[in-house]
Amino acid sequence: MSLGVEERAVARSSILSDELVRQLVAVGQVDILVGVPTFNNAATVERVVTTLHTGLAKHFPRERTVLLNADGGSDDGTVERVLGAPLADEELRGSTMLRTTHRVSAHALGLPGRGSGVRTVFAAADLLQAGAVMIVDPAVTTMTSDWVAELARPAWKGEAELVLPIHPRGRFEGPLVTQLVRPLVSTAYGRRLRSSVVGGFGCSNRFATRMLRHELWERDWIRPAVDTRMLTTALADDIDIVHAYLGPCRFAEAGTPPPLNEVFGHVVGATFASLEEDAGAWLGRSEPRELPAVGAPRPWVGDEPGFDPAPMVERFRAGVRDLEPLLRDILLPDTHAALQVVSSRRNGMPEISDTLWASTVYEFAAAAHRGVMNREHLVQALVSLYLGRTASFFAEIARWNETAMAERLTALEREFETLRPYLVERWNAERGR
Amino acid sequence: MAQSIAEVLRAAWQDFLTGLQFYLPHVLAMISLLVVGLLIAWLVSFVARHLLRWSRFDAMAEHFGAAEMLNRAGLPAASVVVASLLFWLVWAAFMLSGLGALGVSGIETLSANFVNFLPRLVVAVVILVVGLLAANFAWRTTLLAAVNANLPSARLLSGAVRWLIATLAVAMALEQIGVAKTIMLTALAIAFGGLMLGVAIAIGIGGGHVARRILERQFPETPRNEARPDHMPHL
Repeated sequence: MSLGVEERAVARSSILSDELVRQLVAVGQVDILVGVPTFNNAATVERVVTTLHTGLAKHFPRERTVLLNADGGSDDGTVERVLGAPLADEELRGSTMLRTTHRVSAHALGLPGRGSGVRTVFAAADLLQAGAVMIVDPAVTTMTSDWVAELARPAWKGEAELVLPIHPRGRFEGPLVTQLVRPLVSTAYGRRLRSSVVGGFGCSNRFATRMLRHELWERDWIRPAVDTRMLTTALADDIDIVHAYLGPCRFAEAGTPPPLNEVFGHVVGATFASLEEDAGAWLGRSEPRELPAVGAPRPWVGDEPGFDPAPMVERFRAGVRDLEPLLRDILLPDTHAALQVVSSRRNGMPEISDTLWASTVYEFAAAAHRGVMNREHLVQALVSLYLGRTASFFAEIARWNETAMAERLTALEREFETLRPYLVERWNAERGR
Repeated sequence: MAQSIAEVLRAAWQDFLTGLQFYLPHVLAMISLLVVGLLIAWLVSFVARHLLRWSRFDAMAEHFGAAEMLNRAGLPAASVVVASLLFWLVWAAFMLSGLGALGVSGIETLSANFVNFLPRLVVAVVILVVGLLAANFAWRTTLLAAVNANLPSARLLSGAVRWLIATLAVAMALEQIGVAKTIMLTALAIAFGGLMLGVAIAIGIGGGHVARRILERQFPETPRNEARPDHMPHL
């Protein structure tokens, strides 16, 4: 295999270990690279690897493919499970493979975590000149071999640079995405997203190379929120994004989940930071653009997670009451007063309208931009308001079906779009209002 | 007799005129130093205020919570406070020089003492500013952490943290300038000890059940429950 100057430069860099470069050089140039960044995923990774190999054999029988496991230092036997996973499941057992199946596992340099794993996969794709790249989450328990085709094919055929999955979701799943991150990001960047990076994604070699050279990897804040920043970078750069409809995405439970304020801080903090860094790209955009989708929507099946509004409402009321000195600095007086009125109603569920919620989110984003206070503090001040909005929204849609719920979410996103000039106005407002 | 009176008057007026002749230039020098010093101090303050505004110093002060503290204390913006400090510092230096120009015995010692005191004053001010900023930062961190952890009395808790750090900063600053050193240290030790004793008694005797409830809520033995806000699939 002959490597270009740039590829050699990447190989020499600190991203790929010597051991990994040796293994990749032995594989040679490939058409499709599937990356599985792992960190203590022994419980689920074997099934994921076998499903991926099955998908490659089934949907890309003539292409040169490689599965790369970039491990962040697992001590639970993850790497052994990856290397020992069967090549094909029941679906393909006994059939003949047209191509040699390559599987590489190596230690990802850098801090343990998704960021270093994804970066290693991108660097390997760059080195091997892979035509398409697909990265999946090893904790997914519902992956099917079709995911490989749906996520990798648009990038392989040159139809898209980034392929985002759309999974059917329950009404009470992902409120942080549906209520806050997606409407804000979609509206600000002017691209109507229908999903975020959940479970995995596909991309072109060009996107991988572009991301590899992006300075985002050097920043501390990006590590826990690498997916958010990748998505916003793609939106800021205005690359071709395609959605792909997939089946449900469920994850293996790994002990007690991290507390909400931690997850919230990573994701919303990364979103606000992205808006700040990409302001030059998104501020001038106006009309929102639809993003194409391939495949057909899949029905959602499964048990819905429970929903108890009482603790959420309690935390909302405590937040509005106790964080008053901070909210006074962040929000405009009218918005702050409206939230206080909603919070002070003792009977029933607090009703935070779409307009009030969008204004609140925009004023927080603008306050983060103006540096009213430390960004981490500012984001944490939004947690209790988010819980109030989530409780309000869930109570509203509790008796609705999936279709009505989807329409309601669309209405929320349109409200964010209607108020976009307000975001720009607040963003450009002078300090002290 | 008349000649004697005239002699005394003449001598007195001569002494007065000699004194005036000696002191008038010193007084004029002092006045000129004060006036020029006032102008220079005003100029320094003016330039500093504009430089600080240009470098978004007020925004930075707001970011670190100093603006809010100044506002609460009824003080103007941070840039104005710093510019005023510079004004008084420069003018104080000219005033001391002016007093020195008077040539009055003892003034030199006073000036020297003041000049020796200045570094300690500057260090005390720095300690106070950093301490108050740290107090504000800790207040905000504690308040947010307590509210998001659903702890009761979040404002009381965060307020206590803020006042504790602020008091420490004030005590350290006063110690630096040597004001009521022993009294301050003793008062602080008594106040801190009393506070801790009060908390221990309150929790140990009066609020044991409350402490237990808080701990049980923070470290529950119950399994994962997706209906709880922290266990919901938020992403």
